[in-house]
Amino acid sequence: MSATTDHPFSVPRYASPAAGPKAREHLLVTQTGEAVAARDLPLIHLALPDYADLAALHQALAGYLRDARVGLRLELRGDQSFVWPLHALARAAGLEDDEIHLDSSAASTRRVFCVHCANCQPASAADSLTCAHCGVVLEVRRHFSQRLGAYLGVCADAEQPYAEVRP
Amino acid sequence: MIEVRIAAIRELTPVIREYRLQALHGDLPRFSAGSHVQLHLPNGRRNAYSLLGDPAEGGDYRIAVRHQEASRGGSRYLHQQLRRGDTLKIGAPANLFPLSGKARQHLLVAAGIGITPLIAHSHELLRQGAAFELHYAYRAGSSDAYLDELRQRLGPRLHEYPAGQRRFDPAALLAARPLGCHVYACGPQSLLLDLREQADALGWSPRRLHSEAFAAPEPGLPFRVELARSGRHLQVGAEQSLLEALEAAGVEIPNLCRGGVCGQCQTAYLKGDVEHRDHFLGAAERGASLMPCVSRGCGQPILLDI
Repeated sequence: MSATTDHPFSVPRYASPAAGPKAREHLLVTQTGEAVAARDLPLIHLALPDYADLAALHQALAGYLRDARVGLRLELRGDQSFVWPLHALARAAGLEDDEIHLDSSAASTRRVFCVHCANCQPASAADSLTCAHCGVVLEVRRHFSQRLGAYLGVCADAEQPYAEVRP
Repeated sequence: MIEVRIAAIRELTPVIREYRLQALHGDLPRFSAGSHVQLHLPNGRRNAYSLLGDPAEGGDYRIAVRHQEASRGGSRYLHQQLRRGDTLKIGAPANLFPLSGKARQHLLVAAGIGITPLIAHSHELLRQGAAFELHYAYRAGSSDAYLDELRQRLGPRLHEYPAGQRRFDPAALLAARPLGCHVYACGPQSLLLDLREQADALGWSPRRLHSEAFAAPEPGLPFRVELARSGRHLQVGAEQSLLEALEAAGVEIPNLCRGGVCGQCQTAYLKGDVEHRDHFLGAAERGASLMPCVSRGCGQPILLDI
């Protein structure tokens, strides 16, 4: 099998901060309340623990991006299930892909989209899970939607979608 | 290939003429804003011209052609030989300069005859109700085609830079733009380079910059090529591109822009010295591929893998 099979095109890579376009301003969003090293650039830091909940953080980021100017770099640090919804928000606000840096780990909590009931849910890095919404046992495919920020989950066994025990 | 008749010729300025192309049979295909067509001139030249006018209207195509002093036979032929009622063949429209579907503010930048694709864009953006500005640098009385029409249609969206009166300043254009801003520029290479440099300095992603330079291939010294698979030898003249020499010899290579940007005509070569003049190939690809629409030989004869 080729290297592309080991890492399908549709599976995101979490690269180290590349030498992308030069930044004029830096916005960092983290899942934890970690301390941040000082940098040369103006840096704004939004940390989840400083907000009432995730929705409040999303609102704060959206508000910040509404008034932002081209030249801003956004860095998102946390679990996959944390960074990707923020990534979608930033793209909708007009940031380009290469203006956003994701710092996450492939082993962290991720989101899975169930094709049977069309709901997303948090999941571990395991290959299968039972859909929390419709109960179908899902096999998590190596296919990732940037729009949804989620992996595709499909029925693992069409003969026994709910993993029924056969008599 | 589509057969068209020159339905009308209009002099826009002493050096720019508009040609209206009408289908001989049936209807012309619809096009999206930013599209161009290739004209196959009876003298063997093929040139790409942007379609202006409103993409939603359909009907005849309109192109505007500036008479180039250093014409290699394209614009000079159109200006001097082509008459109303003449027929021509054209290719189907292709779009290498489309509007971004995600942008929320569009800045259109034109210099001189570069206005043509941006006229189509301005029609489309007006219809969408999108936020946009058109910045037009021109020389009054010669390269200011469609100025009155644009003033009427665009009002304050039109920003003018008449030569000698107001200089176009890329830094001022790009300063403090909201996220979601995209730039579309058409004009000479120097303008595109200025914009790219400023955008880079201000931290813009290159993805926000869309440009089109339909400069004809620059002439050079004559050179020789050999076709590895057929064993044929061709001589490319000083005023001719390699692509044109291949076509003249009956070798058809897929192509769209004929200006070194679209990547369609990428051709493998096995040996020889190549002067790469395209904007498409990366450094790593240049050792084995070349773009015959603009690139030339310079030294050892080129052995093409075709």
